[in-house]
Amino acid sequence: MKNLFRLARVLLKGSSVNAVGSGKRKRNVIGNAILMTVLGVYFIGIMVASALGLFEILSSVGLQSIMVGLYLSLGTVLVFLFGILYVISIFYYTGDVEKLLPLPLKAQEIIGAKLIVTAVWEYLYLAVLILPPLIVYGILSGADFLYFLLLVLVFIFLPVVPLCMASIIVMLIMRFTPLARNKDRFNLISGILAMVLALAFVFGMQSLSSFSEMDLTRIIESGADAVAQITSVVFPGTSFAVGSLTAIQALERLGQVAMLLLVAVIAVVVTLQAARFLYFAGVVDVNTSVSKRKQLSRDELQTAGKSGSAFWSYCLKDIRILIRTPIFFMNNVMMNFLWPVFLVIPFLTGAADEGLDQLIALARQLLSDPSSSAAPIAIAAFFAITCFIAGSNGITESALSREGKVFYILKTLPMSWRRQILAKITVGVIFSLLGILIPLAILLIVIRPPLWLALSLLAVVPGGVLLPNFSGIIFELFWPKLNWDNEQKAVKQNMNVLYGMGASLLFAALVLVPVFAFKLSVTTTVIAAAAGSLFLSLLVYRIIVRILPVRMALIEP
Amino acid sequence: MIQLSQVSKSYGKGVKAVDSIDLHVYPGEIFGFLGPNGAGKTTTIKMMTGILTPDQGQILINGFDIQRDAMNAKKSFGYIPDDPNVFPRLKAIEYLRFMGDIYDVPTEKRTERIEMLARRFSLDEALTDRIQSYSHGMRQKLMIIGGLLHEPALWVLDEPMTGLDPKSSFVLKEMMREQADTGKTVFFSTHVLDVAEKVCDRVAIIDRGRILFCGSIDAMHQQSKRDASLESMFLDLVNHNEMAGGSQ
Ligand SMILES: Nc1ncnc2c1ncn2[C@@H]1O[C@H](COP(=O)(O)OP(=O)(O)OP(=O)(O)O)[C@@H](O)[C@H]1O
Ligand SMILES: [Mg+2]
Repeated sequence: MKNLFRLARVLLKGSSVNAVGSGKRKRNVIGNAILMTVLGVYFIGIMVASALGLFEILSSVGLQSIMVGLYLSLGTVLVFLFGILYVISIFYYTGDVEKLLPLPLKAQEIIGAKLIVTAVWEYLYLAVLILPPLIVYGILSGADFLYFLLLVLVFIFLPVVPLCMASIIVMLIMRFTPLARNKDRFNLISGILAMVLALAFVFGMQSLSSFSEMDLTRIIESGADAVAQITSVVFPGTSFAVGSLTAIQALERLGQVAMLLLVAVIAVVVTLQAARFLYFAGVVDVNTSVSKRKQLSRDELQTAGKSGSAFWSYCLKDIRILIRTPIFFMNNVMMNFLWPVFLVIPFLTGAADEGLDQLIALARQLLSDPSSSAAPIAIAAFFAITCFIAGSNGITESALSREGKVFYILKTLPMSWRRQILAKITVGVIFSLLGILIPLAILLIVIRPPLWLALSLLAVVPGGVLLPNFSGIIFELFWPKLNWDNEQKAVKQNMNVLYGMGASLLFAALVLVPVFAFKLSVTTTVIAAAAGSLFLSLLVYRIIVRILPVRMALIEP
Repeated sequence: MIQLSQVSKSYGKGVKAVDSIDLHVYPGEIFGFLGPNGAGKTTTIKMMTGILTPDQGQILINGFDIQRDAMNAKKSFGYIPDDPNVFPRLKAIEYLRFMGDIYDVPTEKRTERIEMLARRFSLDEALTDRIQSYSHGMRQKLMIIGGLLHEPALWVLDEPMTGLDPKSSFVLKEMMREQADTGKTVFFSTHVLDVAEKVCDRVAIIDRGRILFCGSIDAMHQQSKRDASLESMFLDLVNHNEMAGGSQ
């Protein structure tokens, strides 16, 4: 037991919210904290708004109490789904597993400690997504003190059962099937899944607003009923949690909480016992890559060994690593293509009301007149989006960091530092171009703007792509993050990516603000955006060339 | 050929990891760089290859200044680092192709070299696998193949024998000899004294950033005036240096 808590403390320290240390660390911690807070506040806002809306609709027909069941079921399902992903990665894939296995620890102790670590993450999610709406409900329905007291207990014990079930299922899968044995594949699939979920969430929230109130009440009522029934069958305990918050008599509510507690304790005991039989046997053969052992024929060797340009070979190496490393693929490549989708969703859902055809017709009409104010704004906005996509994929902003310690060895290659850096910028430019040209093509096909406008949009692309990519590499030259042991640190915990995003927003504002403020004409807007950004890019490039020798000499192990 | 004159380096504001050393390595010889852990071997090699910038002094590689004429200097050596964990997501053959392109090795010569070296190191069946799936020793051998693809005039190897199986380490020693016999230069660091005694034409012993001895093994025997093994002479030198308080 003592071992268990000691271990949990060590593991918690090692993960994520890592100790506040030296200056560089501190910068990262603060940056991450800001990002987390912004995201947290954003989601709390959404959830509180949803609760306020629901309460208003439901209380008009006296059904407000189904809200409790709805949010608790939602919480249970979320804990279970996230639980599956977290348990696989925390129980089996984190770096500490290799260090823990040789220690004289029992499987129950390791799993117990890791269960606590996983639970901490789950509580974080619940505190953001489930707690606020239930507090809102309590306040609006004028609940008594006991409600809030029991809410705290429910919050603590509700996630235990779904989390334990996720753990047991995962341990069974890892023990008896080869489904999740490949770490890279798992990371990729789970990352894509999480992103799809997030997209579905945003999309669902948007489209909810387009139903009429009557429909909505009916949908929620029947939906909530079904969801509550299913979850309470699948996850024993959820119905006790609902009961303890909604039953009429105080004694009954206390009884329900006691039952919840009992179920939770049983779940933990069963999980720890299961770990004894399942964990060690499943953890041993997790691997990352299989070797095929195949002799290369002379012909294959000839084609594989064909000589090419050093510059292109260097780019190709970067592209391969970017695509084949799941963390890089999700953070850099996928985000690059997803941003346009995120930006388009609000328009599409807005269009659901108006009718897409009418909207397009309106846009076409507004944009066809060069003297109207719509055209310059559209050009400036497109430039801003180009900048943002090029600056937020974080490819040049993590160009050195992604190499890790290998970057020191790249310093010994007979390729000048300027060419190495240019190759890295080229990779960023290629992806940024793909990220912006695909949406542009769709836009041109759908809206079919006049030729002058299409050409104007194309004209602002080069500068809009080059400027963020050039300036992004400067952050890396000053603060590269090379000494990592885990790829996440190169892109996720890298402040340069955030700086790059900030810089690209600044460049976007440099064009957007004058266009709005001075009502610039189309010609002036195009010249300012296209020529101005290219000129700035050239300037930044000169700065890079100037500082490069000194910066590179200072990047030492 | 390597010439180091009055080269110093310290990390941060700490003590000097390398303290004004002079070193001359001639064409056609195998030169062993010996010293206890933390003596400054890796630091010296990193300065020779351009990873670290010396605080002081000058380094000439095959006549080119590694700081001022970096490109020519870098083309003329092949470097095998002590940590072989490089590009795990690439396939071995992709890594070799990358190195071939960077060092501008023509297709014909490249295929021939890859085929020959891979067979000698028994890696020929693993070339299409990702480096991720390689063992430590296999990675090391791959680094050796990649670093020697362009037949450099100078080999710089940091602890090349650790982690190699007996056969591979024999092959490497054989290759070093062949290389030196054709008039090229081999410079490697090690703490395996047996290896040094058997293959090196000359050795230098470094401790706490200073060169304690530089010369042939025979010269070392003469200096210590008795017919001791390299091991006991090495221990004598290092112990003596420790008692004298290291650098003065
Ligand atoms: N990155 C670093 N930061 C600070 N000090 C360092 C760093 N690398 C090495 N040192 C210090 O420099 C000195 C020389 O280290 P070096 O790595 O050159 O030794 P070495 O001779 O290669 O040792 P080994 O046989 O263990 O490889 C040591 O005292 C070490 O503590
Ligand atoms: Mg060393």
